[in-house]
Amino acid sequence: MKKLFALFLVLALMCTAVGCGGKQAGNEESQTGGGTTSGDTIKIGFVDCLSGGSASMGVPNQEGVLLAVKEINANGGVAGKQVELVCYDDEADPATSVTQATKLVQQDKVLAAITGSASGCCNANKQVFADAGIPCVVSVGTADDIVGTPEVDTFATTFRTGANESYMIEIMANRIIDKGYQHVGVIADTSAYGQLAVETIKKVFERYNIGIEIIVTHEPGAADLTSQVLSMQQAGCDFIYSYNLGADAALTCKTIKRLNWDVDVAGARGLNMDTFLSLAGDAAEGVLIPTDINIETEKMQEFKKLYDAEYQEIGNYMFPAMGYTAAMTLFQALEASGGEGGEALISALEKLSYESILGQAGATISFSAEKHEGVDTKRMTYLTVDSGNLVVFDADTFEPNA
Amino acid sequence: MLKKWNPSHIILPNWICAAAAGILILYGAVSTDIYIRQVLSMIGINYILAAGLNLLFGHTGQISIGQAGFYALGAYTASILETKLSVPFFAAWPAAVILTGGIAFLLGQRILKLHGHYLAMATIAFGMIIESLSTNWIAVTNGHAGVYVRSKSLLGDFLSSNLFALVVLFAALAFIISNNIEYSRVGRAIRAVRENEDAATSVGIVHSKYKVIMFILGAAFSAVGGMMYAHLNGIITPEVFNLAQSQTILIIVVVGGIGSNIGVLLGAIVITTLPEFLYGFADYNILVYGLLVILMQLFCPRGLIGIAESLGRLLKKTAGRRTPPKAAGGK
Amino acid sequence: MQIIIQLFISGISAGCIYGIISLAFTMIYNSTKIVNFSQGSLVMAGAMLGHLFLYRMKLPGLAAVILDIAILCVIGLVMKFTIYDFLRKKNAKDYHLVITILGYGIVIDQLFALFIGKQQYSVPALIGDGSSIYIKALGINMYPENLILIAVTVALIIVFWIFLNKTQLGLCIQAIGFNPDAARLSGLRTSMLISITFCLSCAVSALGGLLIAPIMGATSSMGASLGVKGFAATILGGMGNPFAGFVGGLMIGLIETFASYYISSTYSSVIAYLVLLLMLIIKPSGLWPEKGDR
Repeated sequence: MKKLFALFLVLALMCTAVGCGGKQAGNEESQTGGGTTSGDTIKIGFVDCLSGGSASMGVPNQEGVLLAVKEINANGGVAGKQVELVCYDDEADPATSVTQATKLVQQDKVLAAITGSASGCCNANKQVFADAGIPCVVSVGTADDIVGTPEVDTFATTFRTGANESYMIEIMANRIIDKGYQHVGVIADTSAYGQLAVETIKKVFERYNIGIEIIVTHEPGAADLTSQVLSMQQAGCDFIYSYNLGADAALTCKTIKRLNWDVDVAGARGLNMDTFLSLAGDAAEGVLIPTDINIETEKMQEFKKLYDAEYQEIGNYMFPAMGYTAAMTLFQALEASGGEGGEALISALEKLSYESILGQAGATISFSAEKHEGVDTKRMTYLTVDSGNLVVFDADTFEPNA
Repeated sequence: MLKKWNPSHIILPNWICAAAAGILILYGAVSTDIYIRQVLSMIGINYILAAGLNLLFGHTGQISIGQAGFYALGAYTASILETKLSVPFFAAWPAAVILTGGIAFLLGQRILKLHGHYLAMATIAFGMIIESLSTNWIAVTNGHAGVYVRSKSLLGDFLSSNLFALVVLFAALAFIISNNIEYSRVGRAIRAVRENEDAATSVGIVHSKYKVIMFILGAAFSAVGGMMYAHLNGIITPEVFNLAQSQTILIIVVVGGIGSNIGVLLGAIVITTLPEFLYGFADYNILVYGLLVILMQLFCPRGLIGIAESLGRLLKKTAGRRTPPKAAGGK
Repeated sequence: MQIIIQLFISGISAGCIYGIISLAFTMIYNSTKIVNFSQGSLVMAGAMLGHLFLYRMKLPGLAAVILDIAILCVIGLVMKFTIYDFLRKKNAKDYHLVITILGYGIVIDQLFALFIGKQQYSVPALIGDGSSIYIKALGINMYPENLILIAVTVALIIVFWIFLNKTQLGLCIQAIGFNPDAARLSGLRTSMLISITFCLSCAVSALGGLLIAPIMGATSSMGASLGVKGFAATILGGMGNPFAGFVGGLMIGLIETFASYYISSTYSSVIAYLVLLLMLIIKPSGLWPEKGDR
């Protein structure tokens, strides 16, 4: 009996091997009906973290990209051709990201790529695209050096539509100077998100001459943050910069509240999550959250409808909006280049300037030969929590220094 | 945990192993398919890691779920020495192995007297500590940004384009060492201990010494695996060396067939290539992987080597009726 | 002094998280001597189901708890059947059980990631309206979810201790764990009793998930580190004794909290693991050694 089963198992494995060997090595997840010859479709690659801890950024990001693909294909595609999206999961591992990018370039032969949320991965896979002359658009990844300066060899092919780390932190720096906070405390998690933030905060604040009183960290998914918050309180902080995600940020605010500590708190993207609001409850009142999207603009309202119609996930519009924007930016440039990739696409991107759904009303995304960061000064909106709702906060200055 | 079992009776003589390695290297030199070489290299690395675990685990049945810690130590030490301190690789690599072995010695001395779940917990704790250090000691390891290992500039053109051959060589070496240990005095000593510790002690076998040796060797294997991984992938980050990785190495050994060298090799091959076969399941691929692991334990507890043996016996029976049918001897 | 009280209570609260996981763990260990390396995944399941029932479907609290426990019991019984009935009967080695359990961990994590989602989810607290409560005796504020966590954990520990040591059923269960053959020979229906312990363990896991998630959110990958800490708590305190595991959990929680404040917030868990290693080297059997242990 056991032997028979063993034999069966081996045969089953062999069958799967044969079955899979038949397909080309490097399977893909085609997103439009019928993968056809490359002449009829425009192949775009997408690589992001779709599993594991960072999937809470990667999955919504992908949703946005898919929405964009669906919309553009429904409207006749790009330059007369349908868009075919090839998605790969890099599990937030840079080495895997390089492998997946290599697949996109060598096997799927994509025209362009949209890269994802983990900075380490974006930094790793951009080299692959650069070596092949394939433009990639970074949708979410924030590390400054992903795009870098024109001297860097990967600069030519790397563009970014999301806001980069120092851009966002400079906005906070301006606010700190504006409000005259003297003792800044930073709390961040030890994930890639928080770690990168701490490095950048130190650099930016030094440039702005803002002293950091104390930096405390914690592992993501913390059970308790009392010692961290107490440390900041004991250090005499008058401003807390909270660079953690969802539940951890909620715990930070709740701990501050129950210690009866009246201190101003501001966060970053990670607070723009449903879990932050619902777990923090009234402890989130008055917290400032700079964000790439302003849900009250007309464009975002349209996007919200589009998204809600397609997905039943709890509405977390920021990452989908960023994915959508990266894709739409690429499609616009492809339209301008007549469906051509390579150099033609690069120069089309560099001439691009349009109003995107991100940012305040009238915010644009534009590139130039020297500037591959798409953000303009109107990108960030401050949100704040008022009676449990995220509302737009009228701040005097939140523009980064030129 | 000291129960009786029969290690696989299928052994691969050293010369066959060397010959197979030679063929693989030739293939690698000739083939232009980067993808296949990448997969084979990863199989090689996983084999080295699993073989290292099998040294202690296979012989003594003592579970260690912290191999990823040594994997990380080897990878990071070699990479940091080469990139940050500009130590040439032929010095950095031995240094990495020696450092990892040294830590294994210090650790093993203290924890190998533990048994069962206590040892398991100790190894888990070790793995978590290394993971946290590699994540948070940014000054040394760059934290999540990782360490870039540009093999071309570090190893020169010849070696960097023939890393695959190097991995095969190391894997073959690991295989031969494991083989020799199994059938050497040390191997027999350890198995004697496993069968009956008291009797073994009474004839003068100091089991703790042998356990520590196996532990150190296992760590050294993992270190080599780590170094190769770093150079092959071009970048190492802390997430690679986490608890799940340690669990995967353990799964390779058990699914392959513990105690058996070839079993571990089969396990490495199957587990490494499984994601390719499972890609068709899209989002469900990891789920299916977990189910397969469970099913393997339920129905083929002796592992892949057990299946191979059963197949072998089946073939022998159908091929020649000379062997009398086995009286319900197998379990 | 205020600070020390704050840290102490926080350490207790975090410790109860580990303690309740340790309790779930201990229940299975007591009757089967099986180390459930995937206990964390079961707690995660409890948490994710809590999100589904309390947040998405907005069921009343009691219904959610009952459903949560019920589903987890089903999962637990499937595990029991395969691990205990199937494998144990075939005289499988311990490492087979370990690998099977690891496989279950993977499967459970994936099931919930696929059917509920891969993001982070919130679970409302079972009691309270979200604002903190002032505890006069200690002079500090606490959130209801922390209070109920501590209360329920302590209650469960006491209940289970009494159950295992003072009731006929509990003593039978311990007997099975101690010497399964003797237990069976003396007429105990071992299989059914073990099913009961798996269910009890799953019920505790379900409750644990429901109590922990309002504090730290629910994600499909939260099981791994929770499971490790729960296991560590049990080892530290002593295997097989619910009270010991609880104390072990408290120790880890307190060490983490105090180390985080006084030494380094980044390395607090490293310090906790180092202390654990030290304990294992010095006194491996834990504070309350298991009966019959070396």
